[in-house]
Amino acid sequence: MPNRDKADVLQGTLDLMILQTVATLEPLHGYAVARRLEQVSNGAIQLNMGTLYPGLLRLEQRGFIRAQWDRTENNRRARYYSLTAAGRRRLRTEKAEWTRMASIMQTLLCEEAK
Amino acid sequence: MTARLREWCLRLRGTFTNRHAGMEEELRFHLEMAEEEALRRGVPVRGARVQAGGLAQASEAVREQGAIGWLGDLMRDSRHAARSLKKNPLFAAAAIVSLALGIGANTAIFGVVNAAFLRPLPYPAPGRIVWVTEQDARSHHSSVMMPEYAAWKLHNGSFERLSAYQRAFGANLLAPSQAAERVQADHVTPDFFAMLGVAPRIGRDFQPGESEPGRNNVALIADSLWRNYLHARADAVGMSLLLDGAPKTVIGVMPPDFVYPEADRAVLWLPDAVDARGSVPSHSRRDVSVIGRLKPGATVEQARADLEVIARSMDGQYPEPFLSIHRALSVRVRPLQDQLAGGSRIAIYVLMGAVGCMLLIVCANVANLFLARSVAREREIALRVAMGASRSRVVRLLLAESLLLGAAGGLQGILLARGTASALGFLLPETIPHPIPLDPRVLGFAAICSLGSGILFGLAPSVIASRLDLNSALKEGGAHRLYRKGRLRLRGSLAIAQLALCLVLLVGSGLLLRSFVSLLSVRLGFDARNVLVADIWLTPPNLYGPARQIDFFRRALAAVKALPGVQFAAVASEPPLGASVISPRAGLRGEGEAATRDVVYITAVSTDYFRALRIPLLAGRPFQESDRDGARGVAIISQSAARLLFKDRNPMGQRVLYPKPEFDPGGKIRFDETNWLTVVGIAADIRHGGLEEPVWPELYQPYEQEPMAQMNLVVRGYSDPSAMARTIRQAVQAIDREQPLFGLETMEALLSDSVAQRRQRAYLLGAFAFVSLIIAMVGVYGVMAYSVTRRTHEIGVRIALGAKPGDVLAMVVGEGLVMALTGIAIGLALSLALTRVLASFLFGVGPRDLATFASISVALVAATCLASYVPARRATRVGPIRALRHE
Repeated sequence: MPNRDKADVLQGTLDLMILQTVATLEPLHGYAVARRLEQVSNGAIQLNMGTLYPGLLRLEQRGFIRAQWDRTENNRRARYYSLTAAGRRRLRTEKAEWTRMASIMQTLLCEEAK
Repeated sequence: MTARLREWCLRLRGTFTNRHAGMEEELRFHLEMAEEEALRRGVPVRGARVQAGGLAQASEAVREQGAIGWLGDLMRDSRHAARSLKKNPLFAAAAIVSLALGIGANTAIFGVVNAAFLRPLPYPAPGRIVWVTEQDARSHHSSVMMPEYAAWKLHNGSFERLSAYQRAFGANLLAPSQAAERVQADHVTPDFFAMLGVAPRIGRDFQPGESEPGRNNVALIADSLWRNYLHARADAVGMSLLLDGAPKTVIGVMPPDFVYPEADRAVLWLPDAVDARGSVPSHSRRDVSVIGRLKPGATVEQARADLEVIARSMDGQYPEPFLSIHRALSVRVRPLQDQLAGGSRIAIYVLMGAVGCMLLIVCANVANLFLARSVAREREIALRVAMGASRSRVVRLLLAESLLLGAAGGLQGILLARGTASALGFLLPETIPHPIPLDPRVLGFAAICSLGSGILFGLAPSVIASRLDLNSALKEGGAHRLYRKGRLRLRGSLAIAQLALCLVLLVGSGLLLRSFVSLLSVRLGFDARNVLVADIWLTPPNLYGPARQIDFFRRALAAVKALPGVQFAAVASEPPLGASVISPRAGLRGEGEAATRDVVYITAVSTDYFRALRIPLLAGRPFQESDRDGARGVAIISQSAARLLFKDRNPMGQRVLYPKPEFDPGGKIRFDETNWLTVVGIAADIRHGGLEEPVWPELYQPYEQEPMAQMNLVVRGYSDPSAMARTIRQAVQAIDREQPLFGLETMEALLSDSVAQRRQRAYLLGAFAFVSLIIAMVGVYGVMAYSVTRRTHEIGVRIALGAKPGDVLAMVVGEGLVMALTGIAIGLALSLALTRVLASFLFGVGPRDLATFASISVALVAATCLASYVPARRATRVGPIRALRHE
């Protein structure tokens, strides 16, 4: 199952992306998360439901986000996600870690290129 | 980390609850939104749908995240297995019962192993408590010379505390307004209990220096003594008790679960003068037992080296002959637990091995059952494979069944072990606390047993079952010989393994049973039936001098003789089967002969002793009233003593020199070289020490010429004398209330006790072997029955071609016979290698006793033939027509 392997590798990244999206727009439903990621990445990231919803459930199980049924502006029932306090803390540390890692990679790759 | 934990907990919960109520709705909402947006933006709806992904896959992915996959699979498999077992209750019951027996026996015996060797002793930090002894190269002395102890205590660097205790023969205890009782009272150094880390439950511990004369009239008592003798009275602490006539103040009561490291538990402790200042009454005394608590971090080896150096530095303090004894000794330090449990180690491990064999036999049997059953399930399995189940999936499914059976059997086994735990107490050495607990360690062992046997009996059949040829299996009744052949081979080897293991068990228990029987057939030389013995120890010594001792026993004998039902009554210093108090003596000399180096039992007896025990007098006369103090010293010697002391001469009327040991006022031993006794009679030999002891030479003296404070009453009744115990006790205590009669037992009970452990071990191993035999026979039967069914066609052809029933019978039984002989050959080889460990438990038979090996092999062959006879009979009744239609 190569897809699954890829998903495992990307899981941490995906979690961070979802957390950040929820933090920016909360409360929002799953479809909005997917749309937002698609827009921000200029269509590079197109999450299907089989990736998105397990990810949301995982973050929920870990206590980083919580979900609540609510009405959309069109008066339809949807599940809205928002960040918990633990989720906010998590996002902060993950963000810092990501930035650090990215700058290391940046430096390393540029050095290699020279 | 807590986040991960939370996730797993929720997934675990999700595995069992399976709640994903809103999930479908949420996914559908996502799809609809995607479609709407596509419409709005004017792009193809299909593309949006593809991008969003399939509803089914997505919900499966969410479900997977919501639960723990393999656990869910396992639960599904177990549910399926349970259903399939329920459909075959007979199969399930047979498997579970035999597994319960196997696992139960293993759990029970492991409970004993755990209680004896694994469970820590009930002291704080028990690993640091060690037993210290001095041993020479060959013997097993378990005590220490006192000067050594004193020096060790002063100079050692590895012990937090080094304590000692001294055993006593017992003491007469008397509380105000109560009857006297004989108790085991030991002397301990004041820090003994502090060393163990146990404090009295009421009152206080000994204080340092409390062993000094003047302060040492205090005592600690055991909970049992407080409850039984003092009736748990609240004012026990502070009470004054008389111990052998000396007043002792009770300062504390030990807790009820306190474990004293001796089999014969003391109930009273006195602070002893053996302490660091090393007051040494006599160099010859070497009767302190030393226990110490190591400093944290100190090892047993360090402690040994430490004490050894101190012991070696003491050579100068010993005069000969003690110096050479001292030089031959070396220090041994071992954990207290090893010391206490060591004696039972081999017996317990032998039993552990036996039940291990039994479990293997059970597993082989259940594996056989599984194989038989998989015939019936071929089509089901083939169907599963055809539907796309992988082989590992099929193995997993079948394995779930065997694991479930293992678990069920294990559960029953634990119940069985719990029920029998109390009955197995006799396997534990008496020094180890007795209730055998089913603690987590034992339960864990049972769980491993269940799991292990589940895999053991389930794996091979499952793998074979999964390796089937689809085409032929799916055809109804298709001939799929190849795969059946592999199965038959496996079943045959399982049966052979069962037979081999069974033979080992049977030989082992056969050897033990034969030992037991040959022990019982030993001639004792005296008649133990209808005889009651009891011990009396007259105290205090200053009140009971020789004259009063004689007077007391005369009056006691007269009183007992007058009781109804008493045929003869006598006293003896050491009647047979009792614990030896006065050790046998060497150095006796027949007149005109050289002194013998062999030991001779010396027993002081009253006139009716030989009649009471029915020891035949071969020549001369019994003792008479006139053989008393002041008269000529006389003796009756046993046949072997006559041979030892006088060779071929007639000993009647000859004299024997018995150099009586006496202590001079300085505490030194002196031998009275003028103590010549005239032989007036020759008695038949007896086995003084019981069935397992050899015949020792004996010399009897009239007790009035050799008065002692300690004597045993020997009473022969006309019938079973145990009913007279109470009247005898009353009659003797009427003479002096302060002299308790103790150790009141019938000689038959003593005899039975002396072989009890042998009997119990033999019966237990025999029971294991018997159960194994039955299980193995069921296994053989199963294999033969299967083989006959498989060959129905062939047998039918044979019969059709004119084979007689006898030929068919011989063919099938012959097949069983080959199996039996193979199994027995392997089993004999195993037994020859293994029975050596039993050598120390055998009596009158060697570990390779031909008769046992041969008779058990023959019996096993016979049993196997019997087990294959039933299927063979069925084979002879196969009608040719039916048989030919069979396939």
